[in-house]
Amino acid sequence: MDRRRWLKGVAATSGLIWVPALANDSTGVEKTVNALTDNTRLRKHQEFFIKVPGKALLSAVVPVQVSASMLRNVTRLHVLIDRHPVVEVARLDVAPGTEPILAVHIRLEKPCRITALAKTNNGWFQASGRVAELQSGCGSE
Amino acid sequence: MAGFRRVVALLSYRVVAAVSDIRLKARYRNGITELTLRIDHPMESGLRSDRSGTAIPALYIKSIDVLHGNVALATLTLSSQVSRNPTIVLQLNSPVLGDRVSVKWLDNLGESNTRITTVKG
Repeated sequence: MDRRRWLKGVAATSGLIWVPALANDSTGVEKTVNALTDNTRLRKHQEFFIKVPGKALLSAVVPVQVSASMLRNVTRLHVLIDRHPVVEVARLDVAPGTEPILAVHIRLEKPCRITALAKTNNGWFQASGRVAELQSGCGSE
Repeated sequence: MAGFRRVVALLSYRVVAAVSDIRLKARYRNGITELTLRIDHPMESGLRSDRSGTAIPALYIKSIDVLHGNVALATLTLSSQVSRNPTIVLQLNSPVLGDRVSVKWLDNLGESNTRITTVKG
């Protein structure tokens, strides 16, 4: 076997034994969302939104703000992230009648989609934002 | 040797966690109280290793309780993905000007700390 074929074979095999625990892709988030919401239909609301920077350097600390102050009777907020070792970043349980806004900072390891869920008396609401990788510190792609 | 280093790292992080401080501000504006808290904490995910290759043990804040008197206003559960020295902002409409609000955090090694403040205008 020549060297090039051998290298191709090794690359294909290493792809097959990729560790799934460190590769929480969007499927992991979907499973977590389904488990949390008990497969309830998720709705969107213009007053429930998540603020994330559009681009960030990898391994940077990224501010995430989830605003649910205009939703009525919010009892729980979830912040979920894909392509990272831990799917559920934060969960906020609030007393009924509060109008929560949650802001946390997250260590970014890969470009990802950050999803926020809000549980209310009227069902579950979802909002999400994507963080792309910033290639250099000067703002260029 | 690696085990000894791991124990030393764990003990040093416990000391850091024990002396870590909470900076807590509570501002009341337009009917809403904004709580800003910054906790000095390493928030180690357990996935990193030091220069010698020894794994740094996980040490992160698991939960933060916000209390108004004896009533729980909010409970925040965090994961190891949250950054070092977590800064958290919560806007709540329950405590008003002059009320006392307490914040208590608990990490995965059982260390905890509490801070009480008065809501200011």
